[in-house]
Amino acid sequence: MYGNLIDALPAVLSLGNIFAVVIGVIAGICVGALPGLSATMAISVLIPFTFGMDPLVALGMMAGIYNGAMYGGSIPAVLLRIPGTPAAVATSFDGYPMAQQGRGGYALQVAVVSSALGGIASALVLMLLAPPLAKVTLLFGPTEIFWVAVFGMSAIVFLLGGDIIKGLISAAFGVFVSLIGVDTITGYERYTFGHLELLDGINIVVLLVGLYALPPAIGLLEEVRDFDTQNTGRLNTTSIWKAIPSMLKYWKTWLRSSVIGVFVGILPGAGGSMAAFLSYNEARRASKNPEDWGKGEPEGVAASETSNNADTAAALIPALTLGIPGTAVAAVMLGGLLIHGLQPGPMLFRDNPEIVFGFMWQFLFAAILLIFLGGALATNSFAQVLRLPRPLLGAIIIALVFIGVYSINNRMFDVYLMLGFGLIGYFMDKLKFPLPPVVLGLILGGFAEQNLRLALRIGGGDWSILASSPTAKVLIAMVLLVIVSPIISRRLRARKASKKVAA
Amino acid sequence: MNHESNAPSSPRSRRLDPDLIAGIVIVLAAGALLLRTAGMPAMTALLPVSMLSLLVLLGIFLIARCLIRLKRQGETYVPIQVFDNARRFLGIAASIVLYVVGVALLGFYTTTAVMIPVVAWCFGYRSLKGLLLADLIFTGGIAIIFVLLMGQELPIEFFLR
Repeated sequence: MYGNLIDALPAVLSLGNIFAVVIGVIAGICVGALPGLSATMAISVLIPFTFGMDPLVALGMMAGIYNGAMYGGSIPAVLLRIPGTPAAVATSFDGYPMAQQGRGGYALQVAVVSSALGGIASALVLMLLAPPLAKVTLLFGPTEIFWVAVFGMSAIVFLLGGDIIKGLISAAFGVFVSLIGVDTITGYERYTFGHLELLDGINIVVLLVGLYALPPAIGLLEEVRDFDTQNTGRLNTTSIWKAIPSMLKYWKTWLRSSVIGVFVGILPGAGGSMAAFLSYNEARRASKNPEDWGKGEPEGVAASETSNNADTAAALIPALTLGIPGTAVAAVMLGGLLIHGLQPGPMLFRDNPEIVFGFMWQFLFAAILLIFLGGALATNSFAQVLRLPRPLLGAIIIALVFIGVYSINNRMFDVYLMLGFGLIGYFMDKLKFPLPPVVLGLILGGFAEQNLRLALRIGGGDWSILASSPTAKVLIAMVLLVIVSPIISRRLRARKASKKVAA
Repeated sequence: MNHESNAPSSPRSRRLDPDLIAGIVIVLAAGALLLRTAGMPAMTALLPVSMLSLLVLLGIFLIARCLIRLKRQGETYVPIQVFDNARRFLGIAASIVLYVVGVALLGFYTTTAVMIPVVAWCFGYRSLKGLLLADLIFTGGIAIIFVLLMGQELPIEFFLR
C-alpha cells in the first residue's frame, strides 16, 4: 500500500519539482501576507498558468502556495493586527502585543517554526491515512458514490456554519452550473442558449477565477486603507537557528495543536480558522499562566499557527480519496487536479499513483521549506510586502485574471463568462452566501448525476436501489446526521442560554 | 460611502433590503430556467428540475424571512450593507469592462500597459515613478513569459493585425 509512496519520491526530488515548491512557498507567503488575498485566490489565479506544465510541477506550486499562505497570514496579524488570512485571526491575539513590545521578529519566528511543524504533521497524516481510505472507497459502486457526493455537499452546507438557506442556495447554484452543456447520455443540450462554447459545459477554472480571484481584486481597489507599517521596520530578529532552542518548551502545544488541526482539517466544512481558535483555547486552558495570554504570550502564536497549518494537508484527505473537498482551498485544488485530467477519488490512487503520492511528498517538503524560506532574513523581507500599494496590486491581479482565463481556450467568451461569475461572486460574498458550496456543487453535481443515473439504470429504474446496500444505508444515515446535528446543537445551545437567563 | 442610504432607520434602506432583492432575482431566474426543462427527456431533466425547484423554494424562503424580519423588527431592522462605496464600485466595474473591451479591440499588451497605471492612479496610488516601473516590469515580464517562453498567444495588438 505504501510502496507507491516510496516509488513517487525520485520524481518529486527532480530539480524542476523542488523549484516549483520553492516558488510556491515564496509566492504563498507573499500572498498570505497581503490582507484581502488568500491561498484560494492565489491558487485560482495560478491554475490557468499551469496548463502547459507537468502535473507534479503544477501541484507542487499549489502545495507550496497553500503552506506558504497559511504562515504568510501571520505576518500582518503580528505586525498590524490585521490577519492576512481568516486562519490567522487567533495569531494576532498574542502576536500583535509582542510586536508592540519590540518582539515582532520573535513572534514571526515562533509562527514560522510552528507553521512548519503543523504542516509536517499534516502531510504525514495525509500519507498514512489517504492510501487505506482510498482502498476502502474503491469498493464503492455508483449508489455509494452518489451518496458520498450528497454527503459532501450536505457537510459543506450544514457544517460550515452561517446561514443554511444561503448555503443551500449556493450548493444548488453550483450543481445547476455543472449541468450546463450536452447531456452525455442523451446528447440533449442543456442551457447552452445556442452557444457552441457551452457545449462542453463550464470550465471549473472560469468559475473558480471568477468567484475567488476577481472579488478580492475589486476589494483591493475598493478599500481606501493605509496600513501603519511602522512595526515592519523594527523586527529585531536574530538567526532562526539561534531562536529555535528557546521554543522547544512549546512541544506540548505543538503536539496538541497538530492533533486538533489535523482533526478539524479532515472534517468537511471546518477550516483553518476553526482549528486555530480551538487550539488557542485549549493551549490557554492548559497553560500555567493563562492571565498572560492576549498580552504577548509566544505560546499563543505557536498554538494557532501550528493548527492552521496542520489543517492544510489533512483537508486533502477527503478531497483526494472521496473527491469531497473539506475547505475552499481544497475545492480549488481539486479544480487544479481536474484541469490536468486527474479525477479526484479512489481511482486517482490506482491510475496515477506517482502523481497523488508525489503531491503528498510535495506537501511535506513545502512544510519543511517554510523554516528555510520563512526564516529570519526572509521574514524581514516578507514583512516589506505589506508596503505594496493596494491599487497597483488590484490592477495587476485584474490583468492576471484575464490572462489566466483567456489562455484556457484562447477565446474571449471565457473572459465574459468569468466576469459574470465574478459579479455573482462579489454579490454572493457581500450578501454572505458561502462560496465553497458553489465550487463543490460544480465538482460534485455532474459526478452525482452520472452515478445516480447509472445506479437507476442498474436497478431498472427502481429508486429503492439507492438504499439497497448496507454502505448506502450508512451513508444516508451520515447525511441525515450532518443535516440534523446543527439543528440539535442550536436547540441545545438555546436551551442552555435560556436556563442561564432563568438562573 | 453614501451614509444616508445605509442609515438603519432610513425607510429607503428597508425597501432595498439586498436579501429581499436576491430572493426575488433567484425566484425569477430559476423560474425562467425551469420553464426551459419542459422539452427535455425525463432523465436529462431530473437534476435540473430538482435544483431549479429547490432554488425557487429557497428563494421564496429568503423573501419570506426578510418580510417577517422586517415586520418583527420594524424601524430597528438593519439590512446587510452591500457597498462600502457604491460610486467606487461602479468605477471599478467600468474599468474592468473597459479593459476587457480594450483588449478585444486594441490588443492585450497595449491595453494592459495603459490600464495598470491609469487604474492604479485613479484608485489612489499616485507615485508616477512607481507606476511606470511596475507597468514596465509587469507588462514586460508577461511578454517575456508568454511570447518568448511559452509561445502562448494573447489578443493580438491592433497595429499588428
